[in-house]
Amino acid sequence: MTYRDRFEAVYDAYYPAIHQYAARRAQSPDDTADVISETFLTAWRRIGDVPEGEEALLWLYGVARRVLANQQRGASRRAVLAERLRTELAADRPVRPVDLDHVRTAFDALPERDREVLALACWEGLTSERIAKVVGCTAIAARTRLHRARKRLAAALERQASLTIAMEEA
Amino acid sequence: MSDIEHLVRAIDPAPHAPDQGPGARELRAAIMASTSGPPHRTARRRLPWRAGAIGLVAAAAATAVFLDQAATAPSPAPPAATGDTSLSGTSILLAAAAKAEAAPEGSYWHLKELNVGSSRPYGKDGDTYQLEISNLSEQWVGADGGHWIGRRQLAARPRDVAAWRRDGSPAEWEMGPDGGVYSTSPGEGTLTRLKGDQKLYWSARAMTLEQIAELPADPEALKKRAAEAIRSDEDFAGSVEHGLPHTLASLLYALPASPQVRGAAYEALATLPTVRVEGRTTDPRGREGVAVTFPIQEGRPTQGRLVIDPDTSKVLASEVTGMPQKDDRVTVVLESGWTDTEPSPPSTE
Repeated sequence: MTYRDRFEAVYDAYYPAIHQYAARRAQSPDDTADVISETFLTAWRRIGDVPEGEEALLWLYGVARRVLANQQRGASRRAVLAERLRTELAADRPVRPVDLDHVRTAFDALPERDREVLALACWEGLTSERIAKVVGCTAIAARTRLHRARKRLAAALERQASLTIAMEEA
Repeated sequence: MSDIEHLVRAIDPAPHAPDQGPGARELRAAIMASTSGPPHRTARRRLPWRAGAIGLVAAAAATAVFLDQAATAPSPAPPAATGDTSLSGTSILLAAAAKAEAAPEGSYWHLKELNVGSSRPYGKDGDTYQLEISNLSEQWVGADGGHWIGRRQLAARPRDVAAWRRDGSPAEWEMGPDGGVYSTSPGEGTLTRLKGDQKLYWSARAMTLEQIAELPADPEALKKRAAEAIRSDEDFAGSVEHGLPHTLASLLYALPASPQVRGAAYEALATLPTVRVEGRTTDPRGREGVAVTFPIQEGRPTQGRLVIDPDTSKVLASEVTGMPQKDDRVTVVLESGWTDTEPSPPSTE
């Protein structure tokens, strides 16, 4: 298998997952397109390092995660490579159900570390062993982080609920 | 799964996996056509350092020839301005506005830029040097709808040759944790044809050639349209006022605006209080011009800087300076205009 075949296979297999990963976390369709293009450009450069099988997806998540963390704002972004993709993404904006706003508020208020593991567990559907591979920690650390994040979100939602009741009674 | 996990799943901002659309397929092709791919990397890896050093000399010579050509390319320059007049800032911009040449003809809008930047430091502790990293980037938009992009990584050059020698004169340098190498040999030129309708970006707004052609030639009306384009950028952090200079400046060279609109853009820039004409200077290629600066983001030291040839009203270079923790970004505008020459991969010869 040549580098080109391998890259095409990786791209075609994991494009939807990486697109989704980026769309869930980026601030705008433009950023989503940039994260996708940067992630796969890195995969192309390092195609020899991309692990086989399912592990490739975790590797790509790890790259996308770093791209998101480093994403530069302003004049220098909008790499010309992703121009067409950006136009496409700008057309479909996500629809957000209003009745879950309180969950979103509580989630957004969590520390970044908590949000990251919760999102990987619930949105990408990863086990703590796999989360550990994406974020680069031990499986035990990932499990602990996930457990604490769950508890903090539950506590935040409870506080919110009691606050709402208090306001309704007032 | 716990209730909490159900709730988090319910707020998934992108619950449905997207299919690969045309944009995704195009991205795949563009990435595989990019210069920094694995085949080049392996090939360069095998180069002994000596061959790399020869490459450095050859590349320098090729670049010199290339720049020579750029410098001697026939230009529609009108007679030079008379004498060294001390024009005020505003009048320099207005003079440039008045120089708007006749609309050039051609089948393709063509932009050719040389981007120059710096690498991170290499070498040993306390004895480091940076590399000058550069690439050529070209764009063609056909009047009939085709859209091509061309790229070529140029040879990296150590900015401090003595420190580079002390480092063992390497011919390659690791880019960073994500892999890739800078090399003293230039990469291959690539040309990618983008499928679908061509779109050019004015700030965050995607525009067709027709829409760009229909921009108003009145400075105030143009400012209004620029403000709308800036507002359409949902993650533009600053105020519209701070986005205006940069957005208006892009009409001067980065987009196929008509001579009338380019003139109006100069006039509009002259009305903005944050735009300063700094006086005579030369661009990174030694071409003489006038420096114009403006802030890019409110409350930040980041500045945009244009070098304009007041005789022809052409933008020679566009720079971003004062970025926190980043070196200045310099773009030399080698060609910006209409041409009948067919798109081809960037060459250094």
